Amino acid sequence: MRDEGFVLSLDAVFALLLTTMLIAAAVKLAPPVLGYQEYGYERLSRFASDALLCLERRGTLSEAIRMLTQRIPLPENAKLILRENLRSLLPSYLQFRLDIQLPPHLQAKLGVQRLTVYPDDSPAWSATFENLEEIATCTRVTTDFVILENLRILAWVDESDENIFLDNIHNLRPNWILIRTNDEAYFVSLIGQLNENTPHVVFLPDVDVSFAASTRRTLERGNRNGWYGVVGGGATMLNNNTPEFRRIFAARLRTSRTQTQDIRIVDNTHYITENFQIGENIPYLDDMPQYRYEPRRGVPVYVLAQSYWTSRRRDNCAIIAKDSLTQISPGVYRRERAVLFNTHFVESTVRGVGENQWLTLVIRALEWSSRKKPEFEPVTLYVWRGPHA
Amino acid sequence: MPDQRGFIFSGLSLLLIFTITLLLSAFLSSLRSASESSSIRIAGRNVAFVAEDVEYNVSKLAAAGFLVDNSLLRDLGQVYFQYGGVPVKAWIIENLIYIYVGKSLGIENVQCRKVVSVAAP
Repeated sequence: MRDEGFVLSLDAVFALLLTTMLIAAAVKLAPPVLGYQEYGYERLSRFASDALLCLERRGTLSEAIRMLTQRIPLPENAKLILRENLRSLLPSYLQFRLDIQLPPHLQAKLGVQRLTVYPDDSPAWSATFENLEEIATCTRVTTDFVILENLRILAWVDESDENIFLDNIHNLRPNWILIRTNDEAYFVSLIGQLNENTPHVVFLPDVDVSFAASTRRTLERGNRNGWYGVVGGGATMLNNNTPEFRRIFAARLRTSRTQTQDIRIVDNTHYITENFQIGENIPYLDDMPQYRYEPRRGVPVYVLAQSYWTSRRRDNCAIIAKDSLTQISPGVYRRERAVLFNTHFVESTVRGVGENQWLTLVIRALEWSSRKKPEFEPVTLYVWRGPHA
Repeated sequence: MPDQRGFIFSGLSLLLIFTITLLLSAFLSSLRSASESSSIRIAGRNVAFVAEDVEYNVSKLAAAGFLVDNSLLRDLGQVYFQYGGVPVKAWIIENLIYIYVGKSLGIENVQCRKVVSVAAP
């Protein structure tokens, strides 16, 4: 009979314990990141975040985005200012890549998904970037892509002057979709429900007809639901002096006068009038009527300009902007916006009296009234140590 | 004859080995702590940076006349999470916007809270 086995001496037990402790310690502390690398990365990360913050606070990012969103985009110029600014912000031993995600309509226009900026235009950067081991990343979100470039505007046009006026707007905002009609049934079909064909703004520059009650109600409902803003002027209210229109524009028509003077800007803190000076005159045709409106009480309105009647020297509202909110659930609101001009700005513009001022005011009123929301796009800066590619 | 080869440790040698093991363990542990604190600093800075960016953006939007409500704040938070990996929660009560940015690092959490006053919607 064979008695095979192991004999564990006391020394062997100690050795086993010792080995176990060492292995346990090694396993527990096996992947300690080297202090040098960690602190080096922290420094790199700070460079990335500080550089991106500086780009934003200097206004360089906004300026580059403005170059991208203008009528003829200038992506190369945008790249140039971003590159030069990053070069001045980062030390020479650091290389970078900046990505600005583009909104869909700009992607289609420029044919790229994002604007990418490397230290220069060398094609080698792309391959270098793919093979990097240590890289710091920082992301901010820009709200500068306030896309007002592709507004969909439904205009009621029943005079040739209005067509000329809209042509002028189209020249200044070629990406806007201007739908012109004087067919009430078609008009109602576009404003009656919210879908991809619903306009962002309904433009009533000078409506010469009295709309049917159902049309007025539909328009008021859409505006109240925040589906579109409404911009009106001329004789629109005179021909539709009804409770619906009074609610839409938050104003009541008192009277009209033909013996008029120019209008003056009285509030330039608003988006519509921010390019004007307080007291600045907007020239207006002498032989066209102006209307006297009284803003509704209890509705938030801004009076941005006033008329000064020669006979009574009494102030009158020349541009009334309604900005009303309804809470639909806690913290979620629906916005009603409408702008009413007390002038026949179409005729004044077409006959060359205050042409540029009226166009600017109306375009900004259309932009402000639209139901457009800001678009959020990420801006990411990658920074790494390395030689120039 | 059985094999009787092996090592003989004296009591002092054994104590020395124990001491070295303890010292080595303490040293590696300190390295690990340093590494962790650096990671927390980087994550903390990242979180604070995002919170500051949210504050900047909502103030800018409110000043530009945009309707800043919970719907917009939710959309904004989703962009930060989608592209930066940082969860952002923001909500509005009357004219105060509450911003909470937090990130979990295993057993540690880094977070930043801000309250921004904007014009009442």
